[in-house]
Amino acid sequence: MEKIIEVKNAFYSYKSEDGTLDAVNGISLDIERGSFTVFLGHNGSGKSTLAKLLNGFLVPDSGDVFVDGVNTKVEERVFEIRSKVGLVFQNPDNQMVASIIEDDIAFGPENLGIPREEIVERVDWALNAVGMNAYRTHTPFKLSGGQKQRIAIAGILAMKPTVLILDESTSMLDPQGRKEVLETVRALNKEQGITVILITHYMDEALDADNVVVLHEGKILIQGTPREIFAKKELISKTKLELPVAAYISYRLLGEGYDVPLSLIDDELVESICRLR
Amino acid sequence: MQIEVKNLSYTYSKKTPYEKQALRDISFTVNEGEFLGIVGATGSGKSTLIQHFNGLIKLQSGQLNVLDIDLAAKKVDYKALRRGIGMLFQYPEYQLFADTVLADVMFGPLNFGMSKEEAHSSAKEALILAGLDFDAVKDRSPLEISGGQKRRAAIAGVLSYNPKILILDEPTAGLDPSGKREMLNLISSLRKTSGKTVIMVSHNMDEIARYCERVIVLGESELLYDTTPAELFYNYDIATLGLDVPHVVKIVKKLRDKGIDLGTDIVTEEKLLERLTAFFGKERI
Amino acid sequence: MRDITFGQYYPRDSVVHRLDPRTKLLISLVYIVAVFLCRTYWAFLASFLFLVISILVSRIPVLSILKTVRAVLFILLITVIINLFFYGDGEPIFSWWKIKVTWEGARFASFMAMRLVFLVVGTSLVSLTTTPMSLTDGMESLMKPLKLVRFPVHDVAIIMSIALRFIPTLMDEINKIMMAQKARGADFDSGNLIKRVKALLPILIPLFVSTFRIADELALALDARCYNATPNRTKMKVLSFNARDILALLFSLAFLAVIILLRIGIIG
Repeated sequence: MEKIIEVKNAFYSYKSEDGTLDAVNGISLDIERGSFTVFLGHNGSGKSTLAKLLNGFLVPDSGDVFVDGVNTKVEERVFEIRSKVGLVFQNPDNQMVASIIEDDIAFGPENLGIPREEIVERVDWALNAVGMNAYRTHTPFKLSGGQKQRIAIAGILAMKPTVLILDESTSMLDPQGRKEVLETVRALNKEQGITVILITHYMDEALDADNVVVLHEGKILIQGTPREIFAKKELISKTKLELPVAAYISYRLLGEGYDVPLSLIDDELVESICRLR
Repeated sequence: MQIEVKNLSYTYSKKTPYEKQALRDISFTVNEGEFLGIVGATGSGKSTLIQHFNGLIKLQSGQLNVLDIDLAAKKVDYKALRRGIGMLFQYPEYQLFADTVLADVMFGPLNFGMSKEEAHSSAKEALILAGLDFDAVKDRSPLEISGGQKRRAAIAGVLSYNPKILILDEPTAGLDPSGKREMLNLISSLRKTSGKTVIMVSHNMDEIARYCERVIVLGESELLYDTTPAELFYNYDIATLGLDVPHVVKIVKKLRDKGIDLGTDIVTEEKLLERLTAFFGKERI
Repeated sequence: MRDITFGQYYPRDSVVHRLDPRTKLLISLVYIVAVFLCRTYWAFLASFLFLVISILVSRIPVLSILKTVRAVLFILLITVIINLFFYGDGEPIFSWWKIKVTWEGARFASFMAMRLVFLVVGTSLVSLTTTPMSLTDGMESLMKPLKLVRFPVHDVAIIMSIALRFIPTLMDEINKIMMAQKARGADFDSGNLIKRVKALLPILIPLFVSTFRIADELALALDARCYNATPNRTKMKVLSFNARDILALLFSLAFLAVIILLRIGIIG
């Protein structure tokens, strides 16, 4: 599988009058084209800083980040990198620029100087890809959080990125909104082949990932498939993340002496319990 | 009875093209010492409802009696009303403004007529209750402390004038799992030590299940259910309202479908484990 | 605050709503010039008729129109009173101490009043029938010639459209902060001037901080969408005039011609 993003021993610190905050302390990782990767970590683990290193917003103090072979330190190509690696943020409100949705989605392609007819096509495609075509002439103000984030995603999609990074884009949403955004993003990955990096502190969002990267204090603690990661209970508790309910129950039952393998989802747990009879 | 709501209705922007009915004919009561949860999809009227309780929204239609104050009366003493209610909005850290954390926490008490000395000692107590290191934060600017500390300072700000009722609008919004746990433990211990009445608006059903004795469900501006969490999750289909059911309940229901009946009162993980170990008895390997 | 319709878009399906925003902006310019040229009651009558026709075609309820005048009622009253009682030469109709009501004063007062009302209603009609986005698009288009003198037309247009986009968000933010402080016993309605100004600090400071936070986040979003990637920015929505716009412009120019003729004295 082709590598679309390569991070080689990157370090980054924030410097201010109060001192230095080491955010990323020697991270190396590869993102494969078309994959669905989840970065897990509690607040302060360095996940957002890492996201910004991946699309060139920040450039590592030492080490390198390559996007499709181009080093993010190359200033002349920074917009090329940014249009390839789209970033959606946490706050659904503060990413929107225009008062009418289709105008907001056109903003990205307009900035890139895309010809008019193509912009219209892209706006159509992006709105349909996130299921918000019915709202194209509405104002964003009256939408729900989940809908707003889908619009934000559409705004990035209109630039036809190869990679879509969602930096805690579900943290401020209600359960309904979270579901909408996750479904949208999964569909984009499976149906449109867009490489997705989902950054979150909810472990249940990592269940479908191809690869899970657990971050702690600016370093990668462990990496692997969801099942491999969830099995490392002691490491998980070190990062103060919370296991999904099914996993937690299966662990406790195991601790009590029952023959229950690790369950990631409710159905698995139910099956395992039934087999105890 | 601390709060009595009768046939309360509210419409925004009446007689404009943007008119919208937020609440329709709501009736319920809240008793002293209760821990009540209010749930509903976004837009169901939850915020509008709680803002009636301390008079931030003026009663438009219906009857409302809070802490023996009749909000339908011609002249309402809003200050006296607000003194009895501590309301924490979503992302309360965005309301901090004073020069120092201590000054901010003293804002409420001073507004409500406490003397400087009383306000000072009350604020100190509140900050400690909220889990902050008093000496470390009291003189710092509230804009310079960490996000977690800011939220605790905001909580201290509403505890410092000793309100009888605490109303919390999504107190765990935006927090990571450990932050959520700490916040809820704080609320829970506050209630145990002070016996205050707590009303919590939340989207998180696990939180509601774990802490609330009673839950009210709003849907499309109407009050749909007023019952216990267990009753709600096991007997009614709330998925159609856009609400989630705790995983524990989903698991118990699925087990029931497969012939393992663990009862209809399990809403927490601990209870599920208890019931499972009891069910399977000594059948261990 | 919520009920002020002064400047707020009132959705309707009318000819005026469908006009190109540039047409409306240009017509309002024409109207402003005309109103200032009026010197006789005939001229004001013509202006009044033009306004009434525009209002009828726009299908905006009269009540909403009148609400826009409410915003300037105070200034209106002061203007009328000052001109009525303290201005004018000639035979006083009525006088008492320094107050002198003359025909000239009365006439002048009525002219000032009509000018003010017509201007307010006329310009409000533009914002009532045009979405803020269209307005900024229209202004951006009209400002294009300024590009020749290196004026940052697009940056200004973006600033305007972002400001407009965030007005409801910021108003919401102010409301939230106000409620949080009120809940803690803050009082914004009583006390002398100094007290009231001090009472605003618990609103202003969090508002400032929030605004900076929003601006920071928005800046990141703009960067993420490649703002300033190339000087050759394209636009999805292109404004275009059609027959309706040309007719409307001609109509307004004809009206202006009438006013000018009245002013010079060729008619009336």
